[in-house]
Amino acid sequence: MSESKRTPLLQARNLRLGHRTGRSREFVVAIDSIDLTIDTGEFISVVGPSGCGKTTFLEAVAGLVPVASGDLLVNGTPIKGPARNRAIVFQSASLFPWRTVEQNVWFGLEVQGRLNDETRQRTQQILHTVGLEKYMKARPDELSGGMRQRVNLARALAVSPDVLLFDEPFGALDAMTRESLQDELLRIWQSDPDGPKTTAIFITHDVTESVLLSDRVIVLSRNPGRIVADIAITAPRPRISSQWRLDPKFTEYCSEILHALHPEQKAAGRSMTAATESSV
Amino acid sequence: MNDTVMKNPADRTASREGSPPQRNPERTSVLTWWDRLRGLQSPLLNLAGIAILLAVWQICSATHMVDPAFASSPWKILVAGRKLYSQGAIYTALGQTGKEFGIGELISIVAGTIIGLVIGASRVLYDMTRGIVDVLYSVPHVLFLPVIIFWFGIGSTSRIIIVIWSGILPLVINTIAGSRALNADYRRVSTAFCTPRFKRFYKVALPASLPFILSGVRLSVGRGLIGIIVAEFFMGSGGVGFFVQFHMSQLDTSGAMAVIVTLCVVALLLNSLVAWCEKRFANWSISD
Repeated sequence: MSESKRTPLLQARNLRLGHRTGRSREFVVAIDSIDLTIDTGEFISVVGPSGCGKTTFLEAVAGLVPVASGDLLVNGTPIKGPARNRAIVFQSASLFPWRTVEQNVWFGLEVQGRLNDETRQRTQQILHTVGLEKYMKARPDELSGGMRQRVNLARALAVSPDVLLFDEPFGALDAMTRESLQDELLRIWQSDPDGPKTTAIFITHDVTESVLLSDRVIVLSRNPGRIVADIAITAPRPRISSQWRLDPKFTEYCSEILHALHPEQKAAGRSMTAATESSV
Repeated sequence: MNDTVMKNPADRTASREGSPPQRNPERTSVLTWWDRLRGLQSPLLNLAGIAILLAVWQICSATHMVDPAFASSPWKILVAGRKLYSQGAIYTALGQTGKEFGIGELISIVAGTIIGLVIGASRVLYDMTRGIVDVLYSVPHVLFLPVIIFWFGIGSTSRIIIVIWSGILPLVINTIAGSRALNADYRRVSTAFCTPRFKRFYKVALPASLPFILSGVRLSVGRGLIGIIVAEFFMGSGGVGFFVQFHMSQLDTSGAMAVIVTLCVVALLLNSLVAWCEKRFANWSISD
Protein backbone atom coordinates (compact mmCIF):
# COMPACT_ATOMS: atom_id res chain seq x y z
CA MET A 1 0.00 0.00 0.00
CA SER A 2 1.06 3.64 0.04
CA GLU A 3 4.38 4.08 1.79
CA SER A 4 4.27 7.87 1.64
CA LYS A 5 1.65 9.17 4.13
CA ARG A 6 1.75 7.04 7.23
CA THR A 7 2.22 8.46 10.69
CA PRO A 8 3.93 6.00 13.06
CA LEU A 9 1.18 4.66 15.27
CA LEU A 10 3.28 2.54 17.55
CA GLN A 11 6.91 3.05 18.36
CA ALA A 12 9.18 0.86 20.46
CA ARG A 13 12.63 2.21 21.23
CA ASN A 14 15.20 0.04 22.95
CA LEU A 15 12.26 -1.66 24.63
CA ARG A 16 12.85 -4.12 27.43
CA LEU A 17 10.07 -6.15 29.03
CA GLY A 18 9.88 -8.82 31.63
CA HIS A 19 8.25 -9.90 34.83
CA ARG A 20 9.22 -10.92 38.33
CA THR A 21 8.60 -14.57 39.05
CA GLY A 22 9.21 -17.15 41.70
CA ARG A 23 9.83 -16.73 45.39
CA SER A 24 12.97 -14.63 44.87
CA ARG A 25 10.99 -12.16 42.72
CA GLU A 26 13.83 -12.36 40.22
CA PHE A 27 13.41 -10.25 37.12
CA VAL A 28 13.14 -12.42 34.01
CA VAL A 29 13.70 -10.62 30.72
CA ALA A 30 11.16 -11.55 28.08
CA ILE A 31 11.88 -8.92 25.44
CA ASP A 32 15.24 -7.20 25.09
CA SER A 33 16.23 -4.06 23.19
CA ILE A 34 13.54 -4.02 20.56
CA ASP A 35 13.22 -1.16 18.08
CA LEU A 36 10.08 -1.21 16.05
CA THR A 37 7.84 1.24 14.23
CA ILE A 38 4.34 0.33 13.18
CA ASP A 39 2.30 2.53 10.87
CA THR A 40 -1.42 3.14 10.93
CA GLY A 41 -3.35 0.55 8.98
CA GLU A 42 -0.63 -2.06 8.98
CA PHE A 43 -1.34 -5.68 9.77
CA ILE A 44 1.74 -6.90 11.62
CA SER A 45 2.43 -10.43 12.72
CA VAL A 46 4.92 -11.27 15.42
CA VAL A 47 6.24 -14.78 15.00
CA GLY A 48 8.55 -16.58 17.36
CA PRO A 49 9.17 -19.81 19.21
CA SER A 50 7.15 -20.33 22.36
CA GLY A 51 8.67 -18.49 25.31
CA CYS A 52 10.17 -15.73 23.18
CA GLY A 53 8.09 -13.06 24.89
CA LYS A 54 5.77 -12.28 22.01
CA THR A 55 2.69 -12.43 24.24
CA THR A 56 4.46 -10.20 26.79
CA PHE A 57 5.06 -7.69 24.00
CA LEU A 58 1.38 -7.73 23.12
CA GLU A 59 0.37 -7.32 26.75
CA ALA A 60 2.72 -4.37 27.06
CA VAL A 61 1.08 -2.72 24.06
CA ALA A 62 -2.29 -3.46 25.66
CA GLY A 63 -1.07 -1.83 28.85
CA LEU A 64 -1.34 -4.98 30.95
CA VAL A 65 2.42 -5.36 31.50
CA PRO A 66 4.57 -2.38 32.53
CA VAL A 67 7.55 -1.33 30.45
CA ALA A 68 10.81 -2.20 32.25
CA SER A 69 13.00 0.19 30.29
CA GLY A 70 13.05 1.95 26.94
CA ASP A 71 10.05 3.55 25.29
CA LEU A 72 6.77 2.19 24.05
CA LEU A 73 4.70 4.92 22.45
CA VAL A 74 1.27 5.00 20.90
CA ASN A 75 0.69 8.11 18.79
CA GLY A 76 3.76 9.57 20.46
CA THR A 77 2.57 9.12 24.06
CA PRO A 78 3.93 6.43 26.39
CA ILE A 79 1.63 3.55 27.26
CA LYS A 80 0.60 3.83 30.92
CA GLY A 81 -2.15 1.23 31.09
CA PRO A 82 -5.08 -0.15 29.16
CA ALA A 83 -6.78 2.35 26.88
CA ARG A 84 -10.02 2.47 24.96
CA ASN A 85 -8.27 2.73 21.61
CA ARG A 86 -6.65 -0.71 21.98
CA ALA A 87 -8.61 -3.95 22.13
CA ILE A 88 -7.44 -7.53 22.55
CA VAL A 89 -8.64 -10.72 20.93
CA PHE A 90 -7.64 -13.16 23.64
CA GLN A 91 -5.95 -16.52 23.28
CA SER A 92 -8.81 -18.34 24.99
CA ALA A 93 -12.18 -16.83 24.16
CA SER A 94 -12.65 -15.62 27.77
CA LEU A 95 -16.35 -14.96 27.33
CA PHE A 96 -18.61 -14.33 30.29
CA PRO A 97 -20.79 -17.43 30.56
CA TRP A 98 -23.72 -15.54 32.13
CA ARG A 99 -23.98 -13.18 29.17
CA THR A 100 -25.47 -14.01 25.81
CA VAL A 101 -23.31 -13.74 22.69
CA GLU A 102 -24.72 -10.29 21.98
CA GLN A 103 -24.17 -9.08 25.54
CA ASN A 104 -20.61 -10.41 25.48
CA VAL A 105 -19.91 -8.50 22.27
CA TRP A 106 -21.11 -5.20 23.71
CA PHE A 107 -19.33 -5.70 27.05
CA GLY A 108 -16.60 -3.20 26.16
CA LEU A 109 -19.10 -0.59 25.01
CA GLU A 110 -21.22 -1.15 28.10
CA VAL A 111 -18.47 -0.71 30.68
CA GLN A 112 -17.13 2.31 28.80
CA GLY A 113 -20.61 3.86 28.88
CA ARG A 114 -20.89 3.91 25.11
CA LEU A 115 -23.81 1.52 24.67
CA ASN A 116 -26.60 3.23 22.76
CA ASP A 117 -28.87 2.52 19.81
CA GLU A 118 -26.13 3.33 17.34
CA THR A 119 -23.46 1.13 18.90
CA ARG A 120 -26.03 -1.61 19.47
CA GLN A 121 -26.74 -1.56 15.78
CA ARG A 122 -23.03 -1.67 15.05
CA THR A 123 -22.75 -4.70 17.34
CA GLN A 124 -25.41 -6.45 15.31
CA GLN A 125 -23.60 -5.59 12.13
CA ILE A 126 -20.35 -7.01 13.51
CA LEU A 127 -22.10 -10.18 14.59
CA HIS A 128 -23.38 -10.41 11.04
CA THR A 129 -19.86 -9.96 9.68
CA VAL A 130 -18.44 -12.75 11.82
CA GLY A 131 -21.38 -14.97 10.85
CA LEU A 132 -23.06 -15.19 14.25
CA GLU A 133 -26.27 -13.27 13.59
CA LYS A 134 -28.29 -16.41 14.32
CA TYR A 135 -26.63 -16.94 17.69
CA MET A 136 -27.04 -13.50 19.20
CA LYS A 137 -29.17 -14.81 22.06
CA ALA A 138 -27.16 -17.99 22.59
CA ARG A 139 -24.98 -18.56 25.65
CA PRO A 140 -21.24 -19.18 25.23
CA ASP A 141 -21.54 -22.76 26.50
CA GLU A 142 -23.82 -23.51 23.56
CA LEU A 143 -21.13 -22.58 21.04
CA SER A 144 -18.22 -24.50 19.56
CA GLY A 145 -14.62 -23.37 20.10
CA GLY A 146 -14.46 -21.68 16.71
CA MET A 147 -17.67 -19.76 17.30
CA ARG A 148 -16.45 -18.55 20.69
CA GLN A 149 -13.35 -17.16 19.02
CA ARG A 150 -15.60 -15.30 16.58
CA VAL A 151 -17.41 -13.74 19.55
CA ASN A 152 -14.01 -12.90 21.04
CA LEU A 153 -13.08 -11.16 17.78
CA ALA A 154 -16.46 -9.41 17.55
CA ARG A 155 -16.10 -8.12 21.11
CA ALA A 156 -12.79 -6.46 20.21
CA LEU A 157 -14.15 -5.06 16.94
CA ALA A 158 -17.21 -3.64 18.69
CA VAL A 159 -15.29 -0.95 20.57
CA SER A 160 -13.89 0.32 17.22
CA PRO A 161 -10.27 0.36 18.39
CA ASP A 162 -7.35 2.03 16.63
CA VAL A 163 -5.21 -0.99 17.41
CA LEU A 164 -6.44 -4.56 17.42
CA LEU A 165 -4.23 -6.94 19.35
CA PHE A 166 -4.45 -10.65 18.59
CA ASP A 167 -2.94 -13.01 21.13
CA GLU A 168 -2.65 -16.29 19.18
CA PRO A 169 -6.43 -16.39 18.88
CA PHE A 170 -6.53 -19.49 16.67
CA GLY A 171 -3.76 -21.41 18.42
CA ALA A 172 -6.02 -23.69 20.41
CA LEU A 173 -8.36 -24.61 17.57
CA ASP A 174 -8.30 -27.68 15.39
CA ALA A 175 -6.66 -27.33 11.97
CA MET A 176 -9.89 -27.15 9.96
CA THR A 177 -11.52 -24.52 12.14
CA ARG A 178 -8.31 -22.56 12.32
CA GLU A 179 -7.99 -22.40 8.56
CA SER A 180 -11.57 -21.27 8.07
CA LEU A 181 -11.20 -18.60 10.74
CA GLN A 182 -7.97 -17.36 9.14
CA ASP A 183 -9.84 -16.98 5.85
CA GLU A 184 -12.68 -15.21 7.66
CA LEU A 185 -10.34 -12.81 9.39
CA LEU A 186 -8.63 -11.98 6.10
CA ARG A 187 -12.02 -11.28 4.56
CA ILE A 188 -13.22 -9.20 7.52
CA TRP A 189 -9.98 -7.23 7.65
CA GLN A 190 -10.13 -6.39 3.95
CA SER A 191 -13.85 -5.69 3.82
CA ASP A 192 -14.07 -3.54 6.93
CA PRO A 193 -14.58 0.06 5.85
CA ASP A 194 -12.51 0.99 8.92
CA GLY A 195 -9.76 -1.29 7.66
CA PRO A 196 -7.13 1.26 6.68
CA LYS A 197 -7.70 3.15 9.96
CA THR A 198 -7.28 0.12 12.16
CA THR A 199 -3.88 -1.37 12.90
CA ALA A 200 -3.44 -5.00 13.86
CA ILE A 201 -0.71 -6.73 15.82
CA PHE A 202 -1.10 -10.45 15.48
CA ILE A 203 0.88 -12.80 17.71
CA THR A 204 1.26 -16.31 16.37
CA HIS A 205 3.60 -19.26 16.05
CA ASP A 206 1.94 -20.36 12.84
CA VAL A 207 4.11 -19.17 9.95
CA THR A 208 1.50 -19.68 7.20
CA GLU A 209 -1.03 -17.74 9.25
CA SER A 210 1.31 -14.76 9.46
CA VAL A 211 2.04 -14.79 5.71
CA LEU A 212 -1.61 -15.14 4.84
CA LEU A 213 -2.77 -12.19 6.92
CA SER A 214 0.04 -9.70 7.29
CA ASP A 215 1.65 -6.77 5.59
CA ARG A 216 4.75 -7.35 7.70
CA VAL A 217 6.10 -10.22 9.74
CA ILE A 218 8.42 -9.63 12.69
CA VAL A 219 10.44 -12.69 13.68
CA LEU A 220 11.63 -12.91 17.27
CA SER A 221 14.40 -15.06 18.67
CA ARG A 222 14.09 -17.09 21.81
CA ASN A 223 15.14 -16.06 25.31
CA PRO A 224 15.22 -13.10 25.46
CA GLY A 225 13.16 -12.03 22.47
CA ARG A 226 15.01 -9.94 19.93
CA ILE A 227 14.00 -9.06 16.41
CA VAL A 228 15.87 -11.32 14.00
CA ALA A 229 13.93 -10.48 10.86
CA ASP A 230 11.43 -7.92 9.65
CA ILE A 231 9.87 -9.17 6.46
CA ALA A 232 7.45 -7.15 4.34
CA ILE A 233 4.77 -9.27 2.68
CA THR A 234 4.17 -7.24 -0.44
CA ALA A 235 1.33 -9.24 -1.95
CA PRO A 236 -1.38 -6.81 -3.06
CA ARG A 237 -4.71 -6.57 -1.27
CA PRO A 238 -7.43 -7.62 -1.35
CA ARG A 239 -5.92 -11.07 -1.19
CA ILE A 240 -8.06 -14.04 -1.94
CA SER A 241 -7.18 -16.68 0.59
CA SER A 242 -7.45 -19.73 -1.66
CA GLN A 243 -5.29 -18.14 -4.38
CA TRP A 244 -2.77 -16.52 -2.07
CA ARG A 245 -2.19 -19.74 -0.15
CA LEU A 246 -1.23 -21.47 -3.43
CA ASP A 247 0.93 -18.65 -4.76
CA PRO A 248 4.63 -19.63 -5.13
CA LYS A 249 5.56 -16.38 -3.38
CA PHE A 250 3.52 -17.47 -0.36
CA THR A 251 5.77 -20.50 0.03
CA GLU A 252 8.85 -18.35 -0.50
CA TYR A 253 7.80 -16.05 2.33
CA CYS A 254 7.11 -19.04 4.56
CA SER A 255 10.56 -20.49 4.01
CA GLU A 256 12.17 -17.08 4.52
CA ILE A 257 10.46 -16.79 7.91
CA LEU A 258 11.33 -20.36 8.84
CA HIS A 259 14.97 -19.72 8.02
CA ALA A 260 14.92 -16.65 10.22
CA LEU A 261 13.36 -18.72 13.00
CA HIS A 262 15.84 -21.58 12.70
CA PRO A 263 19.06 -20.10 11.28
CA GLU A 264 21.12 -22.99 12.64
CA GLN A 265 19.21 -25.73 10.85
CA LYS A 266 18.58 -24.72 7.28
CA ALA A 267 18.02 -28.25 6.07
CA ALA A 268 15.39 -28.87 8.69
CA GLY A 269 13.81 -25.57 7.76
CA ARG A 270 13.62 -26.66 4.17
CA SER A 271 11.92 -29.93 4.99
CA MET A 272 9.43 -28.02 7.16
CA THR A 273 8.73 -25.76 4.23
CA ALA A 274 8.03 -28.80 2.13
CA ALA A 275 5.59 -29.97 4.76
CA THR A 276 3.89 -26.59 4.76
CA GLU A 277 3.63 -26.72 1.00
CA SER A 278 1.99 -30.10 0.97
CA SER A 279 -0.51 -29.12 3.63
CA VAL A 280 -1.69 -26.07 1.73
CA MET B 1 -18.29 -23.79 7.83
CA ASN B 2 -17.40 -26.55 10.19
CA ASP B 3 -18.65 -24.69 13.25
CA THR B 4 -21.76 -26.25 14.61
CA VAL B 5 -23.91 -25.70 17.63
CA MET B 6 -22.99 -28.50 19.96
CA LYS B 7 -25.99 -28.41 22.20
CA ASN B 8 -29.12 -28.41 20.18
CA PRO B 9 -32.05 -29.70 22.24
CA ALA B 10 -34.35 -29.54 19.23
CA ASP B 11 -32.15 -31.98 17.31
CA ARG B 12 -31.96 -34.34 20.22
CA THR B 13 -35.71 -34.50 20.78
CA ALA B 14 -36.26 -34.82 17.06
CA SER B 15 -34.05 -37.90 16.86
CA ARG B 16 -35.72 -39.38 19.94
CA GLU B 17 -39.17 -38.84 18.51
CA GLY B 18 -37.99 -40.15 15.17
CA SER B 19 -37.32 -43.71 16.34
CA PRO B 20 -40.50 -44.97 18.14
CA PRO B 21 -42.81 -45.34 15.11
CA GLN B 22 -40.73 -48.31 13.91
CA ARG B 23 -41.52 -50.16 17.11
CA ASN B 24 -44.68 -51.94 18.14
CA PRO B 25 -46.88 -49.17 19.60
CA GLU B 26 -48.06 -51.34 22.54
CA ARG B 27 -44.52 -52.21 23.47
CA THR B 28 -43.59 -48.56 23.30
CA SER B 29 -46.33 -47.61 25.75
CA VAL B 30 -45.24 -50.37 28.14
CA LEU B 31 -41.70 -49.15 27.88
CA THR B 32 -42.59 -45.54 28.59
CA TRP B 33 -44.76 -46.64 31.53
CA TRP B 34 -41.76 -48.45 33.00
CA ASP B 35 -39.51 -45.57 32.18
CA ARG B 36 -41.85 -43.16 33.85
CA LEU B 37 -42.05 -45.34 36.95
CA ARG B 38 -38.28 -45.59 37.07
CA GLY B 39 -38.05 -41.82 36.79
CA LEU B 40 -40.42 -41.48 39.75
CA GLN B 41 -38.69 -44.20 41.76
CA SER B 42 -36.60 -41.92 43.89
CA PRO B 43 -39.33 -39.40 44.86
CA LEU B 44 -41.79 -42.26 45.44
CA LEU B 45 -39.39 -44.02 47.80
CA ASN B 46 -38.82 -40.69 49.44
CA LEU B 47 -42.53 -40.34 50.19
CA ALA B 48 -42.78 -44.01 51.17
CA GLY B 49 -40.11 -43.50 53.82
CA ILE B 50 -42.02 -40.61 55.35
CA ALA B 51 -45.31 -42.52 55.18
CA ILE B 52 -43.80 -45.55 56.93
CA LEU B 53 -42.36 -43.38 59.69
CA LEU B 54 -45.71 -41.65 60.25
CA ALA B 55 -47.55 -44.98 60.23
CA VAL B 56 -45.21 -46.53 62.79
CA TRP B 57 -45.59 -43.45 64.97
CA GLN B 58 -49.39 -43.58 64.68
CA ILE B 59 -49.49 -47.31 65.48
CA CYS B 60 -47.14 -47.03 68.47
CA SER B 61 -49.19 -44.19 69.82
CA ALA B 62 -52.59 -45.80 69.19
CA THR B 63 -51.57 -49.11 70.79
CA HIS B 64 -50.12 -47.27 73.78
CA MET B 65 -46.67 -48.68 73.13
CA VAL B 66 -45.64 -45.10 73.85
CA ASP B 67 -47.60 -42.64 75.95
CA PRO B 68 -49.75 -40.61 73.51
CA ALA B 69 -49.80 -37.64 75.88
CA PHE B 70 -46.02 -37.72 75.78
CA ALA B 71 -45.29 -38.55 72.13
CA SER B 72 -48.48 -37.34 70.48
CA SER B 73 -49.34 -38.91 67.09
CA PRO B 74 -49.64 -37.77 63.49
CA TRP B 75 -53.40 -37.79 63.70
CA LYS B 76 -53.48 -35.80 66.94
CA ILE B 77 -51.06 -33.29 65.39
CA LEU B 78 -53.40 -32.94 62.41
CA VAL B 79 -56.36 -32.28 64.73
CA ALA B 80 -54.33 -29.83 66.82
CA GLY B 81 -53.21 -28.14 63.63
CA ARG B 82 -56.80 -27.64 62.48
CA LYS B 83 -57.69 -26.12 65.82
CA LEU B 84 -54.59 -23.96 65.71
CA TYR B 85 -55.36 -22.54 62.30
CA SER B 86 -59.00 -21.87 63.16
CA GLN B 87 -57.75 -19.46 65.83
CA GLY B 88 -55.84 -16.29 65.09
CA ALA B 89 -52.84 -16.54 67.43
CA ILE B 90 -50.69 -18.62 65.05
CA TYR B 91 -51.03 -16.07 62.27
CA THR B 92 -49.80 -13.29 64.53
CA ALA B 93 -46.87 -15.46 65.61
CA LEU B 94 -46.01 -16.43 62.02
CA GLY B 95 -46.37 -12.84 60.92
CA GLN B 96 -44.02 -11.55 63.58
CA THR B 97 -41.39 -14.22 62.98
CA GLY B 98 -41.73 -13.87 59.21
CA LYS B 99 -41.37 -10.11 59.27
CA GLU B 100 -38.35 -10.08 61.56
CA PHE B 101 -36.69 -12.96 59.76
CA GLY B 102 -37.39 -11.38 56.37
CA ILE B 103 -35.90 -8.01 57.32
CA GLY B 104 -32.87 -9.63 58.94
CA GLU B 105 -32.26 -11.98 56.05
CA LEU B 106 -32.62 -9.24 53.46
CA ILE B 107 -30.07 -7.08 55.27
CA SER B 108 -27.76 -10.11 55.58
CA ILE B 109 -27.94 -10.86 51.88
CA VAL B 110 -27.38 -7.30 50.69
CA ALA B 111 -24.72 -6.39 53.25
CA GLY B 112 -23.05 -9.82 53.17
CA THR B 113 -22.68 -9.74 49.40
CA ILE B 114 -21.26 -6.23 49.36
CA ILE B 115 -18.87 -6.91 52.25
CA GLY B 116 -17.79 -10.19 50.62
CA LEU B 117 -17.14 -8.59 47.24
CA VAL B 118 -15.14 -5.74 48.76
CA ILE B 119 -13.03 -8.02 50.96
CA GLY B 120 -12.59 -10.51 48.12
CA ALA B 121 -11.28 -7.83 45.79
CA SER B 122 -8.53 -6.67 48.12
CA ARG B 123 -5.62 -8.80 49.20
CA VAL B 124 -4.92 -6.53 52.22
CA LEU B 125 -8.52 -6.52 53.44
CA TYR B 126 -8.71 -10.28 52.97
CA ASP B 127 -5.62 -10.91 55.09
CA MET B 128 -6.80 -8.45 57.71
CA THR B 129 -10.28 -9.91 58.11
CA ARG B 130 -9.56 -13.61 57.63
CA GLY B 131 -8.84 -14.26 61.29
CA ILE B 132 -11.80 -12.26 62.54
CA VAL B 133 -14.21 -13.96 60.16
CA ASP B 134 -12.90 -17.42 61.08
CA VAL B 135 -13.24 -16.79 64.81
CA LEU B 136 -16.73 -15.33 64.51
CA TYR B 137 -17.85 -18.16 62.27
CA SER B 138 -16.56 -20.91 64.55
CA VAL B 139 -18.27 -19.53 67.68
CA PRO B 140 -21.90 -20.76 67.87
CA HIS B 141 -23.84 -17.73 66.70
CA VAL B 142 -26.66 -17.92 69.27
CA LEU B 143 -24.06 -17.61 72.02
CA PHE B 144 -23.99 -13.88 71.35
CA LEU B 145 -27.72 -13.59 72.06
CA PRO B 146 -27.38 -12.43 75.69
CA VAL B 147 -24.88 -9.79 74.59
CA ILE B 148 -27.15 -8.61 71.81
CA ILE B 149 -30.08 -8.42 74.21
CA PHE B 150 -27.91 -6.44 76.62
CA TRP B 151 -27.07 -4.01 73.83
CA PHE B 152 -30.39 -3.74 72.03
CA GLY B 153 -32.93 -4.80 74.63
CA ILE B 154 -35.74 -7.35 74.47
CA GLY B 155 -37.59 -6.62 71.30
CA SER B 156 -37.82 -6.67 67.57
CA THR B 157 -34.45 -4.98 67.02
CA SER B 158 -32.57 -7.64 68.94
CA ARG B 159 -34.27 -10.43 67.03
CA ILE B 160 -33.51 -8.82 63.67
CA ILE B 161 -29.92 -8.33 64.76
CA ILE B 162 -29.52 -11.96 65.75
CA VAL B 163 -30.85 -13.01 62.32
CA ILE B 164 -28.28 -10.76 60.64
CA TRP B 165 -25.58 -11.98 63.00
CA SER B 166 -26.42 -15.60 62.25
CA GLY B 167 -26.96 -15.21 58.55
CA ILE B 168 -24.35 -12.79 57.35
CA LEU B 169 -21.18 -14.81 58.01
CA PRO B 170 -21.81 -17.74 55.64
CA LEU B 171 -22.69 -15.17 52.98
CA VAL B 172 -19.57 -13.12 53.54
CA ILE B 173 -17.38 -16.24 53.55
CA ASN B 174 -18.95 -17.63 50.37
CA THR B 175 -18.87 -14.33 48.52
CA ILE B 176 -15.21 -13.84 49.42
CA ALA B 177 -14.48 -17.34 48.13
CA GLY B 178 -16.39 -16.63 44.93
CA SER B 179 -14.76 -13.30 44.35
CA ARG B 180 -11.27 -14.67 45.02
CA ALA B 181 -11.88 -17.61 42.70
CA LEU B 182 -12.69 -15.11 39.96
CA ASN B 183 -11.37 -16.50 36.70
CA ALA B 184 -8.12 -14.76 35.71
CA ASP B 185 -9.52 -14.47 32.18
CA TYR B 186 -12.49 -12.42 33.43
CA ARG B 187 -10.07 -10.12 35.19
CA ARG B 188 -7.97 -9.69 32.08
CA VAL B 189 -11.01 -8.96 29.94
CA SER B 190 -12.34 -6.36 32.35
CA THR B 191 -8.92 -4.72 32.66
CA ALA B 192 -8.27 -4.72 28.93
CA PHE B 193 -11.62 -3.10 28.18
CA CYS B 194 -10.95 -0.36 30.74
CA THR B 195 -13.74 -1.33 33.13
CA PRO B 196 -14.10 1.25 35.92
CA ARG B 197 -13.63 -0.16 39.42
CA PHE B 198 -17.25 0.11 40.47
CA LYS B 199 -18.59 -1.46 37.29
CA ARG B 200 -16.10 -4.27 37.71
CA PHE B 201 -17.92 -5.17 40.94
CA TYR B 202 -21.40 -5.42 39.61
CA LYS B 203 -20.78 -6.32 35.99
CA VAL B 204 -18.11 -8.99 36.50
CA ALA B 205 -17.40 -9.97 40.11
CA LEU B 206 -21.06 -10.10 41.19
CA PRO B 207 -22.41 -12.29 38.37
CA ALA B 208 -19.27 -14.46 38.43
CA SER B 209 -19.69 -15.06 42.18
CA LEU B 210 -23.45 -15.59 41.99
CA PRO B 211 -23.29 -19.40 42.35
CA PHE B 212 -21.19 -18.94 45.50
CA ILE B 213 -23.48 -16.21 46.82
CA LEU B 214 -26.59 -18.34 46.34
CA SER B 215 -25.13 -21.29 48.21
CA GLY B 216 -24.23 -18.76 50.90
CA VAL B 217 -27.87 -17.63 50.97
CA ARG B 218 -28.94 -21.24 51.49
CA LEU B 219 -26.69 -21.58 54.54
CA SER B 220 -27.67 -18.14 55.73
CA VAL B 221 -31.39 -18.95 55.67
CA GLY B 222 -30.82 -22.07 57.77
CA ARG B 223 -28.73 -20.27 60.35
CA GLY B 224 -31.01 -17.24 60.40
CA LEU B 225 -34.00 -19.44 61.22
CA ILE B 226 -32.09 -20.98 64.12
CA GLY B 227 -31.17 -17.49 65.29
CA ILE B 228 -34.68 -16.13 65.37
CA ILE B 229 -36.27 -19.22 66.96
CA VAL B 230 -33.68 -19.33 69.73
CA ALA B 231 -34.14 -15.60 70.28
CA GLU B 232 -37.89 -16.12 70.65
CA PHE B 233 -37.34 -18.94 73.17
CA PHE B 234 -35.05 -16.65 75.05
CA MET B 235 -37.20 -13.55 75.09
CA GLY B 236 -40.52 -15.30 75.56
CA SER B 237 -42.75 -12.59 74.18
CA GLY B 238 -44.03 -13.77 70.82
CA GLY B 239 -43.31 -15.43 67.52
CA VAL B 240 -43.23 -19.05 66.44
CA GLY B 241 -40.50 -20.09 68.88
CA PHE B 242 -42.41 -18.66 71.81
CA PHE B 243 -45.57 -20.35 70.53
CA VAL B 244 -43.93 -23.80 70.62
CA GLN B 245 -42.53 -23.14 74.06
CA PHE B 246 -45.91 -21.93 75.29
CA HIS B 247 -47.66 -25.10 74.07
CA MET B 248 -45.02 -27.31 75.68
CA SER B 249 -45.32 -25.48 78.96
CA GLN B 250 -48.98 -26.54 78.94
CA LEU B 251 -47.91 -30.11 78.10
CA ASP B 252 -49.67 -29.77 74.74
CA THR B 253 -47.25 -31.84 72.62
CA SER B 254 -49.64 -32.02 69.68
CA GLY B 255 -50.03 -28.25 69.51
CA ALA B 256 -46.29 -27.72 69.68
CA MET B 257 -45.73 -30.35 67.00
CA ALA B 258 -48.30 -28.70 64.74
CA VAL B 259 -46.31 -25.45 64.91
CA ILE B 260 -43.08 -27.34 64.28
CA VAL B 261 -44.60 -28.98 61.18
CA THR B 262 -45.57 -25.51 59.92
CA LEU B 263 -42.01 -24.32 60.37
CA CYS B 264 -40.73 -27.43 58.56
CA VAL B 265 -42.88 -26.58 55.56
CA VAL B 266 -41.73 -22.95 55.60
CA ALA B 267 -38.06 -23.98 55.80
CA LEU B 268 -38.51 -26.45 52.93
CA LEU B 269 -40.21 -23.78 50.82
CA LEU B 270 -37.43 -21.28 51.49
CA ASN B 271 -34.86 -23.88 50.53
CA SER B 272 -36.66 -24.67 47.27
CA LEU B 273 -36.90 -20.96 46.54
CA VAL B 274 -33.12 -20.63 46.81
CA ALA B 275 -32.65 -23.80 44.74
CA TRP B 276 -34.94 -22.31 42.11
CA CYS B 277 -32.90 -19.11 42.11
CA GLU B 278 -29.73 -21.15 41.64
CA LYS B 279 -31.26 -22.89 38.65
CA ARG B 280 -32.65 -19.71 37.18
CA PHE B 281 -29.76 -17.26 37.72
CA ALA B 282 -26.62 -19.38 37.99
CA ASN B 283 -27.34 -22.01 35.36
CA TRP B 284 -24.36 -21.18 33.16
CA SER B 285 -21.48 -23.57 33.27
CA ILE B 286 -18.28 -22.40 34.92
CA SER B 287 -16.12 -23.63 32.05
CA ASP B 288 -15.38 -21.26 29.22
